[in-house]
Amino acid sequence: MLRSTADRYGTVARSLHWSIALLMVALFALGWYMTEINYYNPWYTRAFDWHKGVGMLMLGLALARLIWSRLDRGPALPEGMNALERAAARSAHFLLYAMTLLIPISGYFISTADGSGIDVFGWFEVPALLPASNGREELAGTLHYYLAFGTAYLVGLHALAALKHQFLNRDGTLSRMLGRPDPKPSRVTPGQTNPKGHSA
Amino acid sequence: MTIPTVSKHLTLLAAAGLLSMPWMANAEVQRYALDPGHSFVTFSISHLGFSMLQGSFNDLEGSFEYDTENPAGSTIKVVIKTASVDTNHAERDKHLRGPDFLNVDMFPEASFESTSFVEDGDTGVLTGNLTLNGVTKPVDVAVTFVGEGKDPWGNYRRGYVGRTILRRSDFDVSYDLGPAAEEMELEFNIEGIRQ
Repeated sequence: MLRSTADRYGTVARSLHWSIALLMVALFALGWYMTEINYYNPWYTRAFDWHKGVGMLMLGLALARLIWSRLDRGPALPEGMNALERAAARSAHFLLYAMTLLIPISGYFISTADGSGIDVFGWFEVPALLPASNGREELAGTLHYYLAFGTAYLVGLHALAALKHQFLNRDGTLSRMLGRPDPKPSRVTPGQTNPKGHSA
Repeated sequence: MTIPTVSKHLTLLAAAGLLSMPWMANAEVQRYALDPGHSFVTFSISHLGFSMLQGSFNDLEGSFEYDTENPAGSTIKVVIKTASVDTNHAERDKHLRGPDFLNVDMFPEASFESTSFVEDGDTGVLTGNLTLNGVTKPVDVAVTFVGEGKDPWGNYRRGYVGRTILRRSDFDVSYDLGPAAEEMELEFNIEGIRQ
C-alpha cells in the first residue's frame, strides 16, 4: 500500500525514510573521508563530486518527504508513551526532518559561495541562488560540520529509541517502518497462535 | 634697543635658511599610504605542472616611504588578512584557510616589512621579513618601479610591482601538492597615495 495505515507506514513513506537514512549515513562517511584524504588520492576529486551530487539528490528526496509527510501522516505514536516521551519523540522527529534539509542546504552554500552551481553527475546543475561572496563558504562550512555531527548523535538516539521500542517495549515501532503490521497481541488475527497464550 | 643693522637681517635670514634645511631634507622622504583599490597581493602556483593557479589576498593595508635623496633608506610594510584568500573556487579557498595551509584562525595576518632596499635605476631588490603562517623569514623581493605623478583628482601617486619566489615548506605549509608546487610566486602590485 502506498499510503500509511493505522498500524504501519506506507510504501512511499518507508521508501523515503530508508533511502534518506542510507544516503545520510553514506554522505556522513564520505564527507568525513574526503576531508581526510590527501590531494594525490585517486578518489580525491570524485569523493567531492559524489558528495555534492548525492547531497543534492538527498535534498530533493528530503523535500519530497516533507511534502509527503503532510499528505500521509503515518500511524500515531505507540500507546503507553507518557507525555514526556511523546514530546521527546516529536522533537527528535522534527529535528531529524529539519536536518535532512538544513545539512544539504548548508553544504550547497559552501559550494555556491563563489557563484557557481553544483553539477549533479553531469545530469543537471543546481544553480547558485546568491551572488558570489568570498568567505560565505566559511560560515556555511562551520554550520555544515556541526549540523552533520550533531545529527549523527541524533540519528544514533533515533535508532536506539526504535530498537528500545521494538525489543523492550514490544510495541512494533520498528516493524511498522519495515512494512510489517504491528505485532501487538491485541492485533493478532484470529487463527494465529498467540505466542504468549495458553500452553498445551 | 638699537635698530637692527642690515648685516643682522642677513644673519637672521641665513639662520632661517639653515633652519629650513632639515625641513627640506625631510621633504625628500615621501610617505605613501597603500591604495587598497589599486594594490594587489597575488600568488601563482603550479597545478601538478599543468597550469598556473592564480590567487589573491583581497584584504590588505600598508604604507611605504620613498627617500628621494637616499633610496636605500626607503621602507615598506604590507599586512594582509589571510582569510581574504581568493582563488575563485569556494571549496579550495575554504581548504586554504584551514590547518593544511594558512591556519587563518591561528594566524589571521601575514605581513612583509622591509629591512633594506638596493635601487638600481627603475628596478631594485627589497629585502625584508615575510611573516606567513606564523613563520618569519627574510626574503628578497625583486622590485620594478612602474610610475609616479599627479592623478586627475589632486593626489600624488607612486607604484611598484614586486615579485618573490617562496618555498612553501619554509613557512610550514607543506601539504603535498606535488613536486611542481613546492615553490610559489608571490607578487605585490602596490600603489601608494602620498600623504
